[in-house]
Amino acid sequence: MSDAAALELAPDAAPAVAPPLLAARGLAKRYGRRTAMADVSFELWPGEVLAVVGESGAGKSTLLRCLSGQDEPDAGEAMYRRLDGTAVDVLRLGDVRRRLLLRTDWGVIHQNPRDGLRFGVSAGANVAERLMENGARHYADMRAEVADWLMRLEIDPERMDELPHTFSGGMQQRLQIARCLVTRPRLVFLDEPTGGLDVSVQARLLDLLRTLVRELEVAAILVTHDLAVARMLADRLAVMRDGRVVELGLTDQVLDDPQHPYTQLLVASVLPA
Amino acid sequence: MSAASLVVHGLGKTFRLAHRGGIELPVLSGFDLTLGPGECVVLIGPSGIGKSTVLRCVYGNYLPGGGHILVRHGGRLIDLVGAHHRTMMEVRRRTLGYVSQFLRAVPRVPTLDVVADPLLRLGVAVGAARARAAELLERLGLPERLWSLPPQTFSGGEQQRVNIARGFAVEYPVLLLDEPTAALDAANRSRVAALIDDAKQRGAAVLGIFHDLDFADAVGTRFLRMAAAER
Ligand SMILES: Nc1ncnc2c1ncn2[C@@H]1O[C@H](COP(=O)(O)OP(=O)(O)OP(=O)(O)O)[C@@H](O)[C@H]1O
Ligand SMILES: Nc1ncnc2c1ncn2[C@@H]1O[C@H](COP(=O)(O)OP(=O)(O)OP(=O)(O)O)[C@@H](O)[C@H]1O
Ligand SMILES: [Mg+2]
Ligand SMILES: [Mg+2]
Repeated sequence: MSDAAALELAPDAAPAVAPPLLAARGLAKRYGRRTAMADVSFELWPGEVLAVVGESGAGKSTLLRCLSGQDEPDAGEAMYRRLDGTAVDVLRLGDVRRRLLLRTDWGVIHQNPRDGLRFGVSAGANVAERLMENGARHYADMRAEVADWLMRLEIDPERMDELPHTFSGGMQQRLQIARCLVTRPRLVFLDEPTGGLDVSVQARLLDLLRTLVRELEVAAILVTHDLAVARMLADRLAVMRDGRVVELGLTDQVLDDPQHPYTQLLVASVLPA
Repeated sequence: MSAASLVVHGLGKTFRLAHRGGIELPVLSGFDLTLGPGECVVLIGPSGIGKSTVLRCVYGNYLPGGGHILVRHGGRLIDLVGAHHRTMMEVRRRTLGYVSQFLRAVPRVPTLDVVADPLLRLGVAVGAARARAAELLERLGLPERLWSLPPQTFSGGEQQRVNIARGFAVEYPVLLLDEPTAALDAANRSRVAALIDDAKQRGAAVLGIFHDLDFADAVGTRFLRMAAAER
């Protein structure tokens, strides 16, 4: 800082930064001889949205699946800070405790509502189930809370007792989000949550997600191939290529001033986001 | 100048375009600037000299290539070059406002909420945030019937006023304004000038780019002519 000090304006010490919610280091995964993910490291803070972008086959879903316990990485660690301040490596937690964490602290929103909803029970039961898993028992309270969440996701609570297959694709996706967020998770994983929806439905869903993420202060890792979606929702952006993160930064910085040649290509080859 | 709000010292920026033969485009080198509370410094110079680049480096959507960008944030002077992204996010939330020429808003969100959004991010209650948004839109003469509509279909001048209202919703200590009035008529320009004057009055430090010289004369307290970067 000698040149700044010459101005007699030496900066104060950099402000302290609170510890991250999740710190992943050296994550790797191979399928046979194919490397799906290699040496992926990043940190995520409470309430922060990290988007993961990159072309098909880059390893985005692999990363998400490995973190959320749907698949097992070959190497690496992922330290998660629990509400009590202690940190655990979620990759070495064991099945039982990981399932507990998924129930109490985390949420997963799948691209296909079929993977995230139970189609054999009513819309309301899909949401109530998550509450019951976390200990809710009082029927009337639960029904009121479910109705409230359906309303927040712009689903008419009158339709609470209908089966999910009677809903449109966009409604099913909103139902899945209600089911996930009703227990107020601290960390949510989303893989192409608007993938199968047409553009106007997408915009509406994204706006809902944005508002909810802010209100609940939930951290999220969002996989998308759509840079406009990333710009809208994410604080930070990770660019993956061939299983590696080639660039990571504030979303607008990565999109407006990309540093890595691959990111420059990615940004240049789409319409302005 | 110990109370400076923003000190830029030795700022450098070179773009490297990997897919255009790896060419290097030096835009800024050794750029200096000091800005105090209540001041409005106007950057001037020919198109392409790097005026917008300075503002974007300060706001952090361009990555500075070297130097220091010191910002007074909550009473402390902190260097944004190499700062942690959490710090940068916090500085943007509380200290740095940025109004660019074009509005970029989430589709489907009503104008009133687009403007209130930076306040909501600070934890201001919805009612109070919307009231402040309404006050600004009113001052900027945006017809009330438009407030409940998303701005995507508005005229250029209407969108620009929404953008300005959004940028002024929080009373940021430092404001970066990149041609905020380019699409506005004289009446609307003078409304914006009044907003800038109010901001100066309350002690905001303003760094602006204004192509309209009358406007620049009206709001500027100092002019800074930029020179081409050394190659
Ligand atoms: N279960 C699996 N068995 C074998 N190979 C797999 C498996 N899952 C993923 N792969 C391979 O790993 C690589 C990364 O796949 P992944 O699904 O993570 O990509 P992605 O970035 O999510 O792509 P997309 O945008 O198409 O969804 C690909 O080459 C893929 O073929
Ligand atoms: N993201 C970018 N990638 C590559 N080059 C860039 C980028 N942004 C700006 N430049 C280049 O940097 C130079 C300075 O641009 P800048 O936008 O700062 O100019 P300006 O002084 O604001 O001009 P104007 O008055 O026309 O707005 C130009 O040559 C421009 O092409
Ligand atoms: Mg995928
Ligand atoms: Mg410019």
